[in-house]
Amino acid sequence: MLSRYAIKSPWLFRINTGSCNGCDVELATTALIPRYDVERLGCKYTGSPKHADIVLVTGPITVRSESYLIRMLDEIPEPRVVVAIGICPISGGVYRDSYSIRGPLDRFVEVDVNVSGCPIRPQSILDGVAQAIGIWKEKIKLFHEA
Amino acid sequence: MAQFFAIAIRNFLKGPTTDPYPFGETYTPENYRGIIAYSPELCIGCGTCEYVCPSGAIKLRHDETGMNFSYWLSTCCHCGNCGYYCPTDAVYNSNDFHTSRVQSEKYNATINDDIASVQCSRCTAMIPRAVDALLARAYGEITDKVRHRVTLCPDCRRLEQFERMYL
Amino acid sequence: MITLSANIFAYLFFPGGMFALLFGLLLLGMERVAVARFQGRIGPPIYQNLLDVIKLRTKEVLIPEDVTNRLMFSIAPVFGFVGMMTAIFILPVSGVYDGSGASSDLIVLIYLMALPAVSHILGGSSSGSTYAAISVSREVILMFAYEITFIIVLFTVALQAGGGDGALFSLKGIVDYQVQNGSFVSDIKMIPSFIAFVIFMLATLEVPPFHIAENDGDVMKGYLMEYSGMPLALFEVTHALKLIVLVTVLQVFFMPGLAGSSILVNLLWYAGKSAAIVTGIAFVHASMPSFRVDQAFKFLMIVPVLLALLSLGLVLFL
Repeated sequence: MLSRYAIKSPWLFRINTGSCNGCDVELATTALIPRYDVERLGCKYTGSPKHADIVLVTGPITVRSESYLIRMLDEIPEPRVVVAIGICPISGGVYRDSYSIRGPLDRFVEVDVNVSGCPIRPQSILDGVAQAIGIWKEKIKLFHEA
Repeated sequence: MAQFFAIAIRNFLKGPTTDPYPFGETYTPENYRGIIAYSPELCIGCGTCEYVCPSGAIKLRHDETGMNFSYWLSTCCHCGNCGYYCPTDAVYNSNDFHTSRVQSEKYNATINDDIASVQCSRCTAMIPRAVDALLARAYGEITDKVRHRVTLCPDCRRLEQFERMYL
Repeated sequence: MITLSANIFAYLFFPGGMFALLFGLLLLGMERVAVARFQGRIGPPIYQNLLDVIKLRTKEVLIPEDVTNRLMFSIAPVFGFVGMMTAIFILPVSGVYDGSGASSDLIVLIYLMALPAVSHILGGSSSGSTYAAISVSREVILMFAYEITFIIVLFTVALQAGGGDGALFSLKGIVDYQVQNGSFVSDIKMIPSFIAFVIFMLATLEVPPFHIAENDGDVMKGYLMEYSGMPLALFEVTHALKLIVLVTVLQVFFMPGLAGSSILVNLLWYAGKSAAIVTGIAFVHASMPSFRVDQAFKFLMIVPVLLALLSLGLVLFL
């Protein structure tokens, strides 16, 4: 089927839900600096959520960003893979049990890959994206048989 | 603007400078703070690592039969506090950075070790066992007298001291 | 010398249609690899844009709720696609394909080259998104500025190709004149209009320094914001065809040299010249930041227009 060739061009989209920007800086460096080129895997950072295949979410879900996150996640077409970058969306990170965060990301959407680290190493982001591509292939097959 | 053109031509002639990961090896520094490593034979159960951990990733539980050390990777912020303050170097940061897991493995990314207490050699009380690194720090040189003394619970140690001094 | 003639086979398969689509996607991929090498990275494989189009086939199509005109939103990509397919059909490739052979097809080219921008404007303004509205206004401003250059360069080339007696508006006639009398790029009077046409090419392809209407910096994909799935694939394919049309028009206007008399050798020579032009575009893409829209408007109204007018004056009065 087409899924063998379709997985060679994943388009990434970043959502920041109140992060300290440490993980966002690392996400920016994986794409922009020549040392950790993410375009070798065929990836591209895209500006619109409707073009995205792999969604990278950073930040603990703060109170103010919760409604925007839910709206944004509705705009991403299936089949998609959600990757939680850093320890903040996985478990709250150092802000766990704080009064102003709405909890880990799996309360809002089904997460597929967790990449921990604070902040996360660019090589780990590449690992996470490679794992997400493997999961994406299965999802394309399921989506087109349904 | 002409500098940019010169840089572009230089890049084209010299070749790409990309790190070969994930298709090859990458450079990791020696003292990179990655996932922590734990050796149960060196741990004395003091609880300093639990006290200084900012995100509460390490938890120590004591009961009569022993103690339990647990650590969850998804909350560790790799600060290095636990390795810095541990008196016997039982906990330290290795330089492993492969931290990506699928969602079904989220609650399996842990270290969970049980350390059993030992029985006192004179009565039936349970005491934590002694670690050589701590003994070396406390007593300097570990003699046979020290080794005998650490097999006793505090009550029996007082009894033996009394017997030695007054009887 | 045997060349192919314009018929339904040429429209659908070679050199229009499927050949232009695949070659255009390969050229776009080559531009991406060249930009990466100039920036010191490795870059994707050359056939990456073809994989992008295949992947877009597997995504679902989402239409926003507050779209202002549902019909226009759905059929807006088609205008640009059809315009570019027709433009490839009428353009001659020297030594390989004769083009449509009609006597005034240069004028038709003016209208066909504006169609992709029109489809961007229609799609963006009917999608109901504020980012798209900003991007559409920028696109209209830029289009106004660079169309002037194009028309002046076109008239200069037509006048020069007419010899001494009036202007020749046939694309085939321009190619034949240059094959006989030497390419225009080696003529000192036409060099300013060559530079002006190259600046026009950068502006209409939205390559930095003119990456204004669609950049990821502030408008976040602009008019393409609400498209997903197959309509987005149509936009990508139109972009590839636009690159092929512009590269071919550059060769028709300024350097249609022949390299022998067989179709295959001329085709390879055409592909080689296209690759060199795309590498030049990638060189500018990799090293320059982008203009603001008012700076770009001032630049496009002054510098290329003056160069083209200089060339027109030299051709008219010398």
